[in-house]
Amino acid sequence: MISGYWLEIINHVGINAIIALGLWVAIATGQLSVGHAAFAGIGGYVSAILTRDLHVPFLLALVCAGVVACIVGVIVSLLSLRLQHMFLAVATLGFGEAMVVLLLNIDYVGGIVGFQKIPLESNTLVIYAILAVLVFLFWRLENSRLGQAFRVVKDDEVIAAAVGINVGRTKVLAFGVSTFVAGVGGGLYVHLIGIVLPTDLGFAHSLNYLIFIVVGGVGTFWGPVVGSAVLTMLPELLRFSAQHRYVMFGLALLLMVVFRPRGLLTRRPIGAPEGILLSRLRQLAGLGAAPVRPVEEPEPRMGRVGE
Amino acid sequence: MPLELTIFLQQVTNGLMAGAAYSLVALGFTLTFGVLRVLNLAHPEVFMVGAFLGYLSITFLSPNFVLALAVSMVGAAVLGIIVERIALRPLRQAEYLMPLISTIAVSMIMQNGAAIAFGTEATRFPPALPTIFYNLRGIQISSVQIVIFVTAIVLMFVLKYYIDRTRMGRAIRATAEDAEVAAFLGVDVGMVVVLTMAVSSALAGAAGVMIGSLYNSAWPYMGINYGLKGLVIMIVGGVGSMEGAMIGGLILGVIEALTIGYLSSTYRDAIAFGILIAILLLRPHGLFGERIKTRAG
Repeated sequence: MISGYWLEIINHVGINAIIALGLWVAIATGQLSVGHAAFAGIGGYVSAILTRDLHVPFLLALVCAGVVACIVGVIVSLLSLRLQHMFLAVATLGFGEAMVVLLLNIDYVGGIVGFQKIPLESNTLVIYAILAVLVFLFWRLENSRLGQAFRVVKDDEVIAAAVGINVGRTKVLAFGVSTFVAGVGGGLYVHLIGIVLPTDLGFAHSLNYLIFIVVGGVGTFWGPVVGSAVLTMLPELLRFSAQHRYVMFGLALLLMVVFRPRGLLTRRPIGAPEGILLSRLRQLAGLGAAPVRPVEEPEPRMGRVGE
Repeated sequence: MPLELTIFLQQVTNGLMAGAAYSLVALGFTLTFGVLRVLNLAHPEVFMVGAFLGYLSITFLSPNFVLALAVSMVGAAVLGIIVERIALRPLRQAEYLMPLISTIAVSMIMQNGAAIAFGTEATRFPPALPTIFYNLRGIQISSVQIVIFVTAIVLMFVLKYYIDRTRMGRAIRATAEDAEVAAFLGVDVGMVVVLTMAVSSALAGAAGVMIGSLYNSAWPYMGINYGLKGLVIMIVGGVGSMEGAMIGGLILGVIEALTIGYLSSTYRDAIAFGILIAILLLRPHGLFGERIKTRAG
């Protein structure tokens, strides 16, 4: 069927998409986390310890990985609620690097040589099943009130609070979800390649996921998915030119960003009509008309207050 | 002088020397962020290119430190202007993380371009300064360190004077505070942007030559480390604050040196980050930062 090499790439695309989706939830509420690889890594280490040393079944280990990552994430989020934007980014960056150093110095989990001989339990089916579930959940989320709350919090926290959204709770909830997903993704990752190193939790990897999301498009959950797919496969496609491939990748990335400054995929604003392609597809699938959103605002009425 | 004090002061001295270089890089970050509102992650690569330009100047022109400095600063400034033109200007109105990613793409190109041109191993930096060791009451300083420290301080003071006392400097400050209003009042914002990029890149180039001379090597991936630290210094010192970047860099240099000296080099980064995060938690706007207006005003 598909050669082993491309299968590996497909698996990696799936896992990157999962972790990127996780990070996306945090970014969707305006919380810029530059240390998310650390949460994925925590999930990875936890699940690896569970499966290799405690012989816990794989799926259960994944859930535990997610839970642990989530708990850590919630703690980090609570501690950094005061921090805005840039400062939150630095705090998460510091957290990520601190985790790397911590893990480098714990001998039980292997220190610098990492946690090895992890049972290779991940396969395409599991990865894409989880990805499909996530995509479905996020699709529901995007059109739900919670999803809207996320967007409002991202745009302007003061207004969000003014319209009754509990900003702190929303942000911590989003961060918890995002780290849970990242933890699960990390678990899948380590069981795919059989080893996890402390450096896998570092800034460079966190930045990678960030790039997947932003290049793919921050406005919609499909952004991280498409971004992960494109940017994971691109270096492989460029493999023919060993030395120059990173320069070409950089060039490709630059072009993508300069020509699609809002991301490869953008979210259709409320009230905007669907594009032709999407409505044709909808017709073909027999789904009927797109949900109607109010396009016209009620006309402001001139007159005295109260009339 | 008692031995403990000597050791302590030696570490502090080493730290200050390294810190001066950090400061220059951090200053560049602060300037670009303040004026362009963009985190320029290609900046550390300009630093790296500066080091290589210095290497080339010393090898092919003349082993003269001042010449290398000049060549590198001019070259880096030109590079910075090009980067602004192709990677930042088209994204002026983009989604808030896009310019960042654009600069990441540029940094990737520069890093790997340099690796292709100079190889992935470190390139030996020919000495352009006579290396004499001085012994001050037990503290060892080399002439190289002194020259570098003095140059860095001089550059910083020149920059400060320029920003604070000249008309163009005032234009830069105005643009950093509010670009729209500045344009309204007649400031040529485009010119300011180009100038800012040129100046901060020139500083990075200078820092590159200095670090190259200090460690006698230039390496395509030397920018990453300095970039990360420069970034953190900028934030802890207070975004948009030049004093913060200058002092923050020196502080970080000293903290690192003390950690290496008294604890262990493994924990160097963790402790440095830890202290910086602690400072941030106590003063969320950085040491010298002003309240950044949130979008709600």
